Amino acid sequence: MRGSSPEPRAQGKTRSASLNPSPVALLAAGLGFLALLLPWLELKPSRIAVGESFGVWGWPSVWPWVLLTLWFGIALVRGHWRGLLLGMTLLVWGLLVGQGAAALLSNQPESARVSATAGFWLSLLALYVGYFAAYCESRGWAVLSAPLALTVLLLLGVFNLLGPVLEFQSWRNQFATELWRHLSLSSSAVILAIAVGVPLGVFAASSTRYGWVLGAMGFLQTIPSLALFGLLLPLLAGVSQAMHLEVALALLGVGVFAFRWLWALSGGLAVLLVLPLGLLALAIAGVWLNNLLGPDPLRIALLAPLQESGIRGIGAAPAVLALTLYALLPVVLNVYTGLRSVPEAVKDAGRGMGMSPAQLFWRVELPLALPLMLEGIRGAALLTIGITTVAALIGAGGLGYFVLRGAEGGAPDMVLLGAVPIIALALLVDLALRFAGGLLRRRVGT
Amino acid sequence: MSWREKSPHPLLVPLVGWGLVLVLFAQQSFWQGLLSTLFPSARSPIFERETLLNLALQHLAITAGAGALVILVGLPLAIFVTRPAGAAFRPLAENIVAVGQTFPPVAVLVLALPFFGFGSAGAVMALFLYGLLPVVRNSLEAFASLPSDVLDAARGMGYSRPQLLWRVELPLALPVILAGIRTSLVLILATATVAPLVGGGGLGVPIIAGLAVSNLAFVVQGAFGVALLALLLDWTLGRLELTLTPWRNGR
Repeated sequence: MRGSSPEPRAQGKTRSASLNPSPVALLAAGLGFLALLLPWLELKPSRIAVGESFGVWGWPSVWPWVLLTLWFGIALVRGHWRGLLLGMTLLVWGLLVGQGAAALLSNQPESARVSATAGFWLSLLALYVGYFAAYCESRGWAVLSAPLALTVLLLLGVFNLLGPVLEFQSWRNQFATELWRHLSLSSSAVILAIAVGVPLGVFAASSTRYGWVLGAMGFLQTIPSLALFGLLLPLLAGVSQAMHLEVALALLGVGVFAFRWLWALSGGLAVLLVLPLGLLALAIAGVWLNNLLGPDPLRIALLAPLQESGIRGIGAAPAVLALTLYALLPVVLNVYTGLRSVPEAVKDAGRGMGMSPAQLFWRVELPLALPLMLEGIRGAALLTIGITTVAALIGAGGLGYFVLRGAEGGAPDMVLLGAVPIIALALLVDLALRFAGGLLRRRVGT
Repeated sequence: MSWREKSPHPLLVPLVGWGLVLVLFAQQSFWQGLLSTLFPSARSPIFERETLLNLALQHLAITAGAGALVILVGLPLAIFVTRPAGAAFRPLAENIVAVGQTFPPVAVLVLALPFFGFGSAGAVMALFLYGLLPVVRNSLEAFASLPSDVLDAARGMGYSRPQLLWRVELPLALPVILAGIRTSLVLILATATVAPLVGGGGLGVPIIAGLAVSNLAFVVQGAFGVALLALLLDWTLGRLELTLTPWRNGR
């Protein structure tokens, strides 16, 4: 009953404000009306054939009229009522789609497919805009109506007859594997980018002389992802055939010591040495980490060329390597900015308390820079999840597999089967890391 | 400021750079020779359906088309939602821009297929939608972070709203807006590499063809060309920013 108490006041406001309705809600209603004029569903004799489009007014149903009325209502009412009406609109929209798909498929052969077209997507956009308007107005119980309506629709299974869901049912096992691959590819890249990027960022922030580190990261970022994949392919192909695993590991071991010695002699020479060795280390670590986390088995074959250990010209090696290089920029940049933005007065206070430089770094600078670092990791994760889509082109798999196969075969439903989970994954990771960032900020008190 | 009188125009070097790169792309026989030395096992070392120069020009044309649309639509949109008349739409615009960032570019390109059709025009429209985000985001930020005392001073001097926009707000917001346009154009050029998936042309054509028939020579010529164009575009736009905002050079 607590929820109903603000209603009379909201209604009272409605009367005085109804002459001046919310522009965002008007936009939502306008988009909703426009969507009702467009075709919603497309009936195709098979999954790749050209189909025929149908609007909502074609099939005998009251739902289009109800939807029309509801959009009018959303434009006119205010406050909690808008949230409530929006939930109802979402419910009616879903029922209409389900009913339409069932009606279209009723006298059709098994191979026929129903796909969503312009009107469907536009009304989804209208619902999003309307939900945004309702959410801005009242954050009370009314905004729960839309997620509730969506849950009801999913439980009722109204979308089960639509193309992408049917594609999912026929590709179920492959979908699970590719989702797992997508997650393992992007998480190995992000983990490696953190492992390399945080020290690099600390290094870059340690002196104004090391600004070139950021420049180098920006340079890498500017190279298009498919181009970087393409340039790494022949390099890794050559190395993986010519070099044995034990040679590579020995080179890396010697390299670490040679680096320390060379760094004292000449920074430039040391960097020249560390670049190829670092790339080699990243390629090996990336493939192994990916195989450890992902569905493909981990293989380590000593006394054999690198390709026996899974480091090949195509597949996971160039994918994780390129993804790591891309994810470096957001991590390094934010570690750098975070450390640089620690106020000098705070550092002075720490020094005054007798902290050593190491204590100052671990107890003052790092905790204060942590929220920005997490922001960088969020950026890196989003970027990586998106670019992993392209990795399917070089045989690394992932959800991009469905996107690319769908694009090649002219099957938009299959593209959606890959694209919708990628977008959902990105939004989920975004939400989770934002939430973690908020918690961290509250603890650090900035 | 003395360097401005003495040294050549700051855009002269990038222009010469573009000329040199296009001349380099036109050396079809040189590339043929180089690639057949690098990849002796490849049956046809160079992509033969189209010359390298034409592919590069197609790539630039797609980028320019999408980029022009982005600037023509994105900037007015950002200006509209930061005026009193459009202020109600600003949270919505910010929200959509933030959510849109999480969409993978390839998915945007491929999902736009049913709406805009197969071919370069469809690719341009999809790239336009994707490139809109950085321009709108940066322009919104730029207009939001203008120092309010400067705006107050201008209003106090009797500037009308259009005058305020043209003479105070736009010049002050220009650096951040230009940075957004630079990000957007480089992003469009990079994403245009996957345009062949939706029937567009450009330097992605040999890359994707090469991956399909595992001919690394095809992949390398496309990849090298795209990387070169992206770096050159980024650098040129950086120089352009300096030219258009000379007061930020500090000297």
